Amino acid sequence: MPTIFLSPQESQDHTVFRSLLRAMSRPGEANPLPLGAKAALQAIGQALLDLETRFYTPDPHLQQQFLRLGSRASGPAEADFLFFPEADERIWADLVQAPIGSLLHPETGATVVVLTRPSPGARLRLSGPGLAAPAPLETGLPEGFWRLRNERVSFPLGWDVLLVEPQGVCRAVPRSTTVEVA
Amino acid sequence: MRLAELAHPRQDYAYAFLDAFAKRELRRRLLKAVAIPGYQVPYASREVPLARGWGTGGLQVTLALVGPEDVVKVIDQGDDQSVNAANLRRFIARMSGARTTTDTALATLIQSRHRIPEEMLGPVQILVLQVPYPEPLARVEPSFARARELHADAEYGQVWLGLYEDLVRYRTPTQGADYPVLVHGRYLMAPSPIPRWDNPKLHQAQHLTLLSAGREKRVYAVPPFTEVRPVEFSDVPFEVEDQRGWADWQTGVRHKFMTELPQADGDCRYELSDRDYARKRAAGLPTQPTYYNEEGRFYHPGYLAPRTPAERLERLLHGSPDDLPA
Repeated sequence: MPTIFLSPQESQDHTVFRSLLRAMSRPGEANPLPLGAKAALQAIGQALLDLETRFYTPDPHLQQQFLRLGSRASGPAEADFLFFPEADERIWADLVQAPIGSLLHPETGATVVVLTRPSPGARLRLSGPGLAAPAPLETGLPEGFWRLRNERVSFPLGWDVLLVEPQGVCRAVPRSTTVEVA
Repeated sequence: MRLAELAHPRQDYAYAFLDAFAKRELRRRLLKAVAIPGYQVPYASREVPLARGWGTGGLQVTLALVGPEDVVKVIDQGDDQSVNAANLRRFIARMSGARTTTDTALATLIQSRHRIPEEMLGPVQILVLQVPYPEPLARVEPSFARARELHADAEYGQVWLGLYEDLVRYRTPTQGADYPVLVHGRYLMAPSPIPRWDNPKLHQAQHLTLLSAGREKRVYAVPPFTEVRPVEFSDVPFEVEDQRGWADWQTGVRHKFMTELPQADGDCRYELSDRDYARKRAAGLPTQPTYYNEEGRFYHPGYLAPRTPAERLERLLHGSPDDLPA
């Protein structure tokens, strides 16, 4: 038998990926991540970023971590992944520029990773693929974020949102999901 | 300090065979594939120790997904024991340390060539289908670049025209397996060469389905609870294979997908295609609920139209028990 070894890093990447895949296929569902808060954003970057990807983050610490993975820093308009550890109005200007892909290659739309706060946010109603019935979701993000998201997303174009809660839970709102702000 | 302390532990292969770059790339593609149901995402498709066309696409997806806690099942036309399935299963287990099973109910990851199991898959299970030809427009549009434009515009008229021509010439669709479907009302998708019998199982399913073509370097997905509709006309509805008179020669089970076994005397026998389901039925073991019940009714009432025009008229006038909500 050949020797196969799963390093702690690869094990973490695997756990993060499976969690993201499940989250992406079931929008709004809470899925555990092995780490919380900003470390969770770092773990997601670790699992998905390498020298084939470009990222944008306003956070200098995260930027340093991701550069170490070989990933290239870019402006929000060219980034494959955007990481926001703070979700306030200041990120709107970046989000507007995030790539939504083209009809020939919709997969070039970005992935937006946001660390949310436990504070009450907009109440949403999600429907679409992955949801047996329309489901409510309360995120720590203000209404403005979801309005902007709905403005930019027109299936199959748009960006896919990964919401990370500080205690280490991720939820996804892919572009295929219809988001109604209540 | 000794050299051995500084070195990595001995490792003959990367975990799950694929190197970290290959895995990350495929994982990024898979997330996009799930976010855009039915759309074919290009990916790098690495070399694996398997000839292209023998399930390299499915194998790479399985290797990108598998972890030590997974239970893997591999089937080839419903059979766990075919040489191809057995080789893949052994390779995946050897490279990942995952456990293997033939029991659909116990598996977390199911890699399959050309069948979806008869027993209903649950929400924690992931189905990986091997795909030889991912482009559903290849029959009407030889250029892949042009086909990509047609997908971009959702311009699928030629497919309906092809179906119309089939009906005019042969009175029946000529596409048996790999019957095209429309996913989430947007992308036309080749469901891989599963029999038409298995097509409805993708509609509003509980499980995630990932489809991967290694040679053609495309990966796509059907998330759970997604609308998957066959290409059909309202007056000539889609039909699954008519095997109503067929019964498994060993167990007598009916209304499950069968394989025809020609006999020396010119007669033929029928055998359940899903071999592990057949094993459980023959041994009298408990089975999970199946997509088609013992009367051959599909579990989403009303999804499949009645077979005969008389039955269809009857349903139009009086409704049918199938139309009642489950």
